[in-house]
Amino acid sequence: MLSHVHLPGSAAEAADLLRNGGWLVGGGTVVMPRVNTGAVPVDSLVSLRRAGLDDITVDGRRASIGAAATLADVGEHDALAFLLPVIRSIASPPVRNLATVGGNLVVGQPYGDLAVALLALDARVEVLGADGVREVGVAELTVGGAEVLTAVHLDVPDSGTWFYRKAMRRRHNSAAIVTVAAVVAVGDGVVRQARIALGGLAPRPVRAPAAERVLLGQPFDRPTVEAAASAARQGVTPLDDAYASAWYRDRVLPVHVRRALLGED
Amino acid sequence: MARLFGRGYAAVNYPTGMNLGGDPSQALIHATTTGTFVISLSSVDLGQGLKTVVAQCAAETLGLPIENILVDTADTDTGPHCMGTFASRGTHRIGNAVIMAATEARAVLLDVAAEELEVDAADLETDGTGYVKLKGSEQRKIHITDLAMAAHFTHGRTISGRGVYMKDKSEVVPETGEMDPDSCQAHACTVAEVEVDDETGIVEVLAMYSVYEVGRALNPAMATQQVEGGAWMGISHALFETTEPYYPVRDHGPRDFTEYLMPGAGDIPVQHSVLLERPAATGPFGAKGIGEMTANSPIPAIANAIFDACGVRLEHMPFTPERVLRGIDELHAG
Amino acid sequence: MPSRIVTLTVNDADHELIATPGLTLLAALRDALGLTAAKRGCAQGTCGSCVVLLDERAVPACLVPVETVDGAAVRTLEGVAAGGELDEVQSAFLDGFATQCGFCTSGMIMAAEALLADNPSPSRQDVVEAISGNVCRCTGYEPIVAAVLDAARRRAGRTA
Repeated sequence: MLSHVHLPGSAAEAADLLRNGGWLVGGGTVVMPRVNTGAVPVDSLVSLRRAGLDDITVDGRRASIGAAATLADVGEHDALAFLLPVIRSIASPPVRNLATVGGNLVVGQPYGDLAVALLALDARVEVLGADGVREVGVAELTVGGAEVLTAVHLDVPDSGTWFYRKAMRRRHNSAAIVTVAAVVAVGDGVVRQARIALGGLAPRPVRAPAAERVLLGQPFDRPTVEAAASAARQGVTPLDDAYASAWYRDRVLPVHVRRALLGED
Repeated sequence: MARLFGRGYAAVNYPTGMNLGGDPSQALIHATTTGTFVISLSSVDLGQGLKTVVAQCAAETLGLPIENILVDTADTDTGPHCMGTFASRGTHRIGNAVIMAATEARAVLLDVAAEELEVDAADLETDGTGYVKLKGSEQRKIHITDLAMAAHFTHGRTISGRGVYMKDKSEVVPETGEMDPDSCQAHACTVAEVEVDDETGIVEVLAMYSVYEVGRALNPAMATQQVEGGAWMGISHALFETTEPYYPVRDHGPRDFTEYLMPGAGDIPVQHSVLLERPAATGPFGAKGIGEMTANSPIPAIANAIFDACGVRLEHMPFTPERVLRGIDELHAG
Repeated sequence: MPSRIVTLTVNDADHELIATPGLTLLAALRDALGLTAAKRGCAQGTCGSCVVLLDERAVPACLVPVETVDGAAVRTLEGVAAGGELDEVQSAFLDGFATQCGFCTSGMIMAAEALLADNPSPSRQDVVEAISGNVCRCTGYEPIVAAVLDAARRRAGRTA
């Protein structure tokens, strides 16, 4: 039974309140279903709606996104148009009008496709804790009970270097079977930079280092991509869930990596 | 790596209503003093359009515009008894009961009009716009609003009627096994066209063709809705829905409408539907039931289309991408 | 258990209501204000039957703690018909047989209103995405998609 819904005016105030217990609420898409079924183990909620964490600024190539900015806010920002396919692949417009960037970073896979994209973008995440602000990468991100994500920083990739594909059981509003996000930059006819992030395969987004190594220094062509796609399976132990089995995810992972990088349907 | 096209079909016969110990429904009709005809029922319109269909049956029988009909339904404390709206029985049972009630009400209507116009009831007709008139005359007529008023305040008559339709229980003839549990049967055939992605096992239904023989399509738009909404449900059952994705293991049962998979507006085929009519002797204006059957034949049609596309014969629903891929693997191994 | 007084402007009328902690916008609309067009379908934000407009954005009302939206403007289906006359979306749904049991209809119409306010000439794909958060069990979606496209044409005809 809830006894309090707090509306702090800043991240610091939110972190303070959380030291007394309670759950942080961003868009409410994960917390409110629990509240609605009466099954919350806490007696207070700390809402980030008024905490001033929803600004989005893009300065040249550098983008800073407030952790409480909604997915819709990100999708509507002109300078972040490359992220629109990511945003559109997540849930549905009404949910995207509430769901926050911070929430998407902490929800477990097979949800959290923006987190997969942010991992591929080598984004840095700001976390406010008892000892002040620290900055971590998406792969290492853990959030303590009294900590608040405040912002995400990333570089907008050069045109033609961004690849994204989310395989789902239906065309819209469904969780990831496999999500592939990649930044692949080519120079002098060969791959100079490759960051491939995968979702739907583990509790958190993961990089695909073996696939990245196959690409580096090679022409960015079909044979190379097919080899990289096969290599993507190394070190991955997918999960069973209501959407797909581990067997299936492992089986189609190379297909979707290949289709993502070659721009196939 | 290919997208494989396949086509398959299936047909279904489906009975109307129940056998049980008899399958009855009742209806009452009475006119208000302003010429509205109230159909009292305790039958439920769950969105299938029963209220519209019975209003049509009443208007047609009474010879009045449908705007004069008011359907008052679903109060089981006070309404005339109905077994319920299930078993595809609504149009047939309740439609027939309403026609019977409207027939009796029409007789009273003409009787009162005959007194008002000082003619024989047998020489009267309704023109469908609200008038009762002497056949062959344009002057000797009376509007239903005036007639209803006159019935109540001048003649002390109620323009009303009672109806019931019961399908008698059919017993089996022990020597031969013959029986007649169905009032009538509707028939359908579905053709499904699919595309199978042989790298992912994903089956997409591109088009669905449905032909339904329904006795009489009392409301063709609504009957088509039933066909196409049901086809969607068939596709959903065939390819998506399960409460136990790892049956007989019970793990990972879906907990909300994102985990419980159903196709959305982005996953639907183009549908082409045709209604055929061979009126049933027992049906209201010949209509048969068309309810549950619409989710049936799409499922085996899709199974057959998958087989046509890639040679995989699936017998367990849903026909998930994994089942298709495992089937393709088995074919290559064998 | 401290309750808070929350002010909402719903369908252009101001309302003050008492919010117990965790009370959702959906519960406030249905139970406190008697606006029952928005439906309780799943309480998890996954069926779309509770979608309303919150500061002109379509949201699942069951996911919004009403205390966090004090002062906001809400539009429900009850506030769509202007002066008692059905608007283009409502008329298109009626004429196009785009409703059967009606449970999804409120959420569908509000999602469509949000779409058309933002994008007056949507493509079919735009409509499909706009309603991708709304589950329908009866119609198979096609009549709904057709009705929204029809509504867009009607509205364009009216303002042309």
